[in-house]
Amino acid sequence: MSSSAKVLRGIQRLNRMGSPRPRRDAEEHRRARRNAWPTLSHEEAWKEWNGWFERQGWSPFPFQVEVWQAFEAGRSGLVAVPTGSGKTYAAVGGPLLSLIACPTAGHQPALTILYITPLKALARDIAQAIQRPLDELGWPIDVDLRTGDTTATARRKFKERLPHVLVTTPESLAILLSDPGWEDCMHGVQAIILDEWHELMGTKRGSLLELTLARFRAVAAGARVWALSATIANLEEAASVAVGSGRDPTIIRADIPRHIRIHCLLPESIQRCPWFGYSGLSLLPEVVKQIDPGQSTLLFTNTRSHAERWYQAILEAKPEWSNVMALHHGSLDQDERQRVEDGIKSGTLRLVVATSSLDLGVDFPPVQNVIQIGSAKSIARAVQRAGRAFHRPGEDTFVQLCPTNVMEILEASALRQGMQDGVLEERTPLNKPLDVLVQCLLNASFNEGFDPTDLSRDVRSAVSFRTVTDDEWSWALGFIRSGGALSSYPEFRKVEVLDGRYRFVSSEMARRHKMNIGTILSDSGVTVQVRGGARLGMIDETFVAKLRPGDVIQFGGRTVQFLQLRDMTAYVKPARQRSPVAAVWSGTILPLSVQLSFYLRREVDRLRQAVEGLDQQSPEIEALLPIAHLQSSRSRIPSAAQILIETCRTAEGHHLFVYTWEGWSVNEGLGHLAAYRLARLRPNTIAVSATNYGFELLSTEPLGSEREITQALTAFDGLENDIHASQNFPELARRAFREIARVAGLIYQGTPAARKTARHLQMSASLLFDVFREYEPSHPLLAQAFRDVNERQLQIDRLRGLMRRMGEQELLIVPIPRLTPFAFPLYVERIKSRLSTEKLEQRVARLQREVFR
Amino acid sequence: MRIRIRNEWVALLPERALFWPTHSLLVVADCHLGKAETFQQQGLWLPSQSGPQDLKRLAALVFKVDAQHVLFLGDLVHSSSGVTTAVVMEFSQWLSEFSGSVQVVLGNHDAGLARRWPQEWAKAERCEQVRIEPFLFRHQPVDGPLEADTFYWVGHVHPMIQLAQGPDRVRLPGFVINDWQGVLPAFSSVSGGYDVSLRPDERRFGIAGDRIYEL
Repeated sequence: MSSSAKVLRGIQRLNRMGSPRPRRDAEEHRRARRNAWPTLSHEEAWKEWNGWFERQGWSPFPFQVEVWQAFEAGRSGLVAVPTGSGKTYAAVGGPLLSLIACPTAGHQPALTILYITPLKALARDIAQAIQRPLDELGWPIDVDLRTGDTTATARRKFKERLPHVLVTTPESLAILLSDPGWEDCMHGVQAIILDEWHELMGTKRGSLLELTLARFRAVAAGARVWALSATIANLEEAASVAVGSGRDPTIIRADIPRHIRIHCLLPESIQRCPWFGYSGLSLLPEVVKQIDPGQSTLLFTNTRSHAERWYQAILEAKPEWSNVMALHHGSLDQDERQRVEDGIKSGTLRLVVATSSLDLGVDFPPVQNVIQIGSAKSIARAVQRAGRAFHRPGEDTFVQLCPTNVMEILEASALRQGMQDGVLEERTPLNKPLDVLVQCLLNASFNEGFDPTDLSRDVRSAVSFRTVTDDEWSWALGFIRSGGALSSYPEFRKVEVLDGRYRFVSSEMARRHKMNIGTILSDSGVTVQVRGGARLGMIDETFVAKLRPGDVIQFGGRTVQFLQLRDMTAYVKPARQRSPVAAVWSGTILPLSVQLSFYLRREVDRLRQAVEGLDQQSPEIEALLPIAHLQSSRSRIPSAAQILIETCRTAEGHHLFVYTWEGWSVNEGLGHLAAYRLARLRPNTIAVSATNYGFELLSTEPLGSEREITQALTAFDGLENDIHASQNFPELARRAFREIARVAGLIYQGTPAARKTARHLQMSASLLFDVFREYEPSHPLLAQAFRDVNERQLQIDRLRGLMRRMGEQELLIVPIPRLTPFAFPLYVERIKSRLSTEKLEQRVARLQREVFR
Repeated sequence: MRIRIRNEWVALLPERALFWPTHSLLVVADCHLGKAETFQQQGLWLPSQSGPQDLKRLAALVFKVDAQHVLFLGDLVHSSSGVTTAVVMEFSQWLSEFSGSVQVVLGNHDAGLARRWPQEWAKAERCEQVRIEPFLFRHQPVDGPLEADTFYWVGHVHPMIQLAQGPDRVRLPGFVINDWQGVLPAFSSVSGGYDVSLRPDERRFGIAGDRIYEL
């Protein structure tokens, strides 16, 4: 690219940035502050702050005042309010007031408020939101942000002086704590705010943040922690994990009544709605009818790939909307996302097709219309997305749900029931993941390093790690020092012990680990770039590997032709022709939540009652009646106290369909467990496929007697051993180990350029998994991989619960003559992996006609 | 599995080696001794047991096929820094226990060590390539037949053959053979590999456990 073109692009980028940049404001304030730090009494500060709210036409919500007072009283805690209800001001108000009313703060500027957000895309918005009242009140408080996108120059500036308020991400915070002398800069922090805490807790990022904060609290003893959380069920636990053990958190809830109405889009004829599928495109006409370009509309899909496909499909149906419509998902380039977010704010964009990338707290005005494609699979998630509509507290929220298959019509009804009952899901914090512990030790090994006694105390002050045993602790220390789990390796060089302190052996090792900080698991991403032009975003390496030069794909709402892959960049050029192939990212289908499962089973029961003529009318049940009658005539519809199992014999073999409505990961687990147990009784080849609703076993030989099948599904004897021996367990563990290897720094990462020069240090996590299994089979990190599979993938507690329920309830084992509507999705799920998408859709349509005949 | 190339019978062994009965020659490529040590020095975890284990496998294989000659097809070691005293000892012990002749074709990873070849390894004769008609053994593959009559046996690539049936994917190490060249799998048990895509003029032999399949 010529230099003038570069300049031009730079200008274009600047133009896109829109509203004032917080950093420039911060500069002005630094200058202003030298002259005037106001002498405000505490009462005067309060008065000014309230005055600012009044000038906005707002009066502070009671919960906001409550949080400000609790902060001033020295409390830590958690604020639970729906998205977009003024959480940010609730959290920063107290600390800002204390800061401005502190007469000495002007003389000794120091970091006082630390605001941590899980999404770096949100950091800028938050900084601006905090800046606004400060600007208008003339309070000379600095606000700045530091994320993975912060330039090296700006990062150097932080080393000289930190702002009063710093907005950052968990990973950037961990990196800040690798700077020499961070303790001196940060010991004066008064407030730590954890935004979107429900998103973080329960993930390894959340665990790592817990440990980072534990180290931080040991230095900044006066810091009060306030977590901001949306809709979850276990607030007490969330609060205690946020503030750390030994503190008694205050929980403040906002009772903003918010009624959510769910409307399910129903086709005129139920035949138009497929019995299997995830994309929902067959209801495109119904969805397009709901979109009015005069109103702002957000269309949520569950995956990035579906967002791409929906965007194209709507564009084809309504080419005249091309100027007011955009696509937003996490793999698009930041500039592009920013343009979309600005477009929503300024109102130039009327329709945005988005994934969960817009789920979180990006602050933009209410959209009038929220359409969710496919069930959100969790009540809390549905509530969260509904929060995007009429983003004003106290108002009614209306969400339309487009089912992607017939069962999702029932899910819509289940969601509504769950919401009416005020039921929400829990987020469970992880229990001392050892890979995260190893990373924490390494994060503490920079510069002067750490004293193991001190760090042990800090680590155990984190709620999820308070049960770390002495054995586990000394293993982790030994592991970073000598590389050994069972034996130690004399050649191993990473961390050494000097005067009782653990520290990196060299600055090279420290530098390398710095690149490894953070635990977000991302597939090795490939940048997509127009040749000689703009970066479009990221795409999975595995997807690019399948492309041949000349292939045309949809990416970021454009049609592009793939040219070549070089240096981890996929070069493309705009293409004229349309392509049926949308970029695909790896990711999994969301499993149904426990709570939604419960309501779904009740809806199935209502369907049964409706078929029997009992009055159970709702639009969804009514729409499903033709299918319910078919199911009921060919088989049964179970009551909430029954479990339906269908058996049938086809040319392919013996089928067993089990309907649990428990989410696919549990279904898959139980399916493999049953397959293993049945194949142990007599030699048999059994294939397992699972959906959110149930699982299918297909075998060459008869599966067994009713008693044997019941035993296989419900027996608790030898449960864990059988699960570990079942067919897919090693594969799941291998996948879990990939994340562990990255988190614990087992594999060399670093920039693509550095990877190239360090090719002889490359090792795939999968190979490492084999090596560990062969040579150190009892390695704690291998055990961690098994634990991750049990707890997070198979959800072993939920599996046990399901098995217990199956043991107590009546099992209806019904031989069926032909496929039933319930069996259909399971049948397709198995064959779909053998067919390309296009062929699959044709075949599904044909099968569906046949079954319905 | 025995195949016939240029009128010579050779055996592709599931132990990831090639055996040429005519000359009682066993060929192994890409042993990468000292890989674990190289990693450990760089602060990366890799158990040390793999190297000795690989040499044990090699000794067993030599015994099994009763080889008189062993040829290493390049990348005997992973890096010169990884060749610690322990690694030198392990390989020299294998050399002393093997009564036949040993040749080492130098690969790109051996470059550093070639300049200061351990005394204890003197028995292993070093060379750039080895010609035994009608074959030529070298480390790096050639792009096309340089000499019409010669068939090349090479290493370097660590070929992995991908089999996919729906979501079931397996990657198997194996041999890739065309009209003028055969690529050996890496002998090392801690080496990854590169996926090779199927080309119409190639035969692929994948190794699954102790069997070898033409795919």
